[in-house]
Amino acid sequence: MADERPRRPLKSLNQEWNTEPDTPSERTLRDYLLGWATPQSDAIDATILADGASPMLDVIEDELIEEYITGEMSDADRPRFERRFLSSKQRLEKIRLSAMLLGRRDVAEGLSQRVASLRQEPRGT
Amino acid sequence: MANHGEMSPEDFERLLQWLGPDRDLSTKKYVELHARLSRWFYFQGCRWPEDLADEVWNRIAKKLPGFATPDKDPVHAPNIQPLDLWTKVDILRKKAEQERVTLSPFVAVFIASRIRSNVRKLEGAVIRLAAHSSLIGAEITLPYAQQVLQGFFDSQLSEFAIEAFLERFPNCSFHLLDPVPTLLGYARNVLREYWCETTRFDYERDPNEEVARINDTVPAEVRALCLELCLQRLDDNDRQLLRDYHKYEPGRKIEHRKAMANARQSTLNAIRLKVSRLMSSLRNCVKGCCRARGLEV
Repeated sequence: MADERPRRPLKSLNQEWNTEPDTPSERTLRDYLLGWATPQSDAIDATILADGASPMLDVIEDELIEEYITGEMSDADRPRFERRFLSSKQRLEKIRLSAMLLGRRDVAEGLSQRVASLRQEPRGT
Repeated sequence: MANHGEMSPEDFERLLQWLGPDRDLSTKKYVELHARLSRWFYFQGCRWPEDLADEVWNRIAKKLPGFATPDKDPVHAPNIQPLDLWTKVDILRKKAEQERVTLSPFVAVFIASRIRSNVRKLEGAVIRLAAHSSLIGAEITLPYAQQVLQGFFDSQLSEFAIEAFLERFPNCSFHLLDPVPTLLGYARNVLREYWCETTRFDYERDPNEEVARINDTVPAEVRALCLELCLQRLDDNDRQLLRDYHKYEPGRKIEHRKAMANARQSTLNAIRLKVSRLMSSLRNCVKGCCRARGLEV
């Protein structure tokens, strides 16, 4: 279900955003949302159930959506994003609205087609 | 995915008892935990988070005492026999005797159900508890053990621990155990089945809903109109913040947002959180606006 993320030369998000090294880090939360295996996944799972989801998860979710719409998302993350985000109606709506706000109506309008084409792809890809 | 059906009122009562002795507080706890569980499934990318959360509760309810029919669900065929748990409990008790500390059945089962790896780790838990309690002179109660051994355990409580525990101690106050690890254990099983049995974009339960999911049910013009109306409803500063936040030159997003934070004498994280909250209220507003026009988002 959750694979190891391939190594790639990406600067840590904490560095990029110059944020405090929180536990778990933003990079970890980002990987968690994309379904990459992280050493802290268990802890994040337990925290969501015990204390509720951190607001940073919502922030990072919105930012992932933005990256997807603007095409900033890496090739490694994109299929993971599509698998986890385009299968949920609630998230599809989030993407459509963000795309409109970002002035990317083309993305909003092409989303249904993208979902339909992903549906045709063989299972497990 | 094996579906355990609707929850009966009796099942629900048992669940409430499991969550605590006070019915009102248990109901509140159930509602809270259900919402968190749904949110957890949502973050895993599941399509029906609430339904999957219901499934978790159903499965737990079926394992609580008073159910005559044993669980025949092949997914839960017990590879881990209850005996394993009691072997671990015996190991813990023997080690506790060596260390000259007293472990209550609650504490022993609590530890045994959370450690899967090996005997050394089981003994390590007792040694840690013994050392800690002798240092501060505390009795080893369940909350105390939970606190001292925080972070020491394997990730999840074996779901079979519930059955095994209740077989051995049928009259115990089961609510003394923290429900979160149990919920998580079940939730992960349900998630595994969900991923195994659901093709990525198939929706076998309701083809109409699948069509509605794939095809945008709201015309782009209506969404654009609603978005504009909802933006107008925002406070001037908030509206400007949202617009500025998303208006940057390619490759200069971070610099742009840092500059915005500086200009507003705020921090980048504060701005990010604020934008996320604004986006959330904007989404709710657009949803309401579309509904008012007879369109379901």
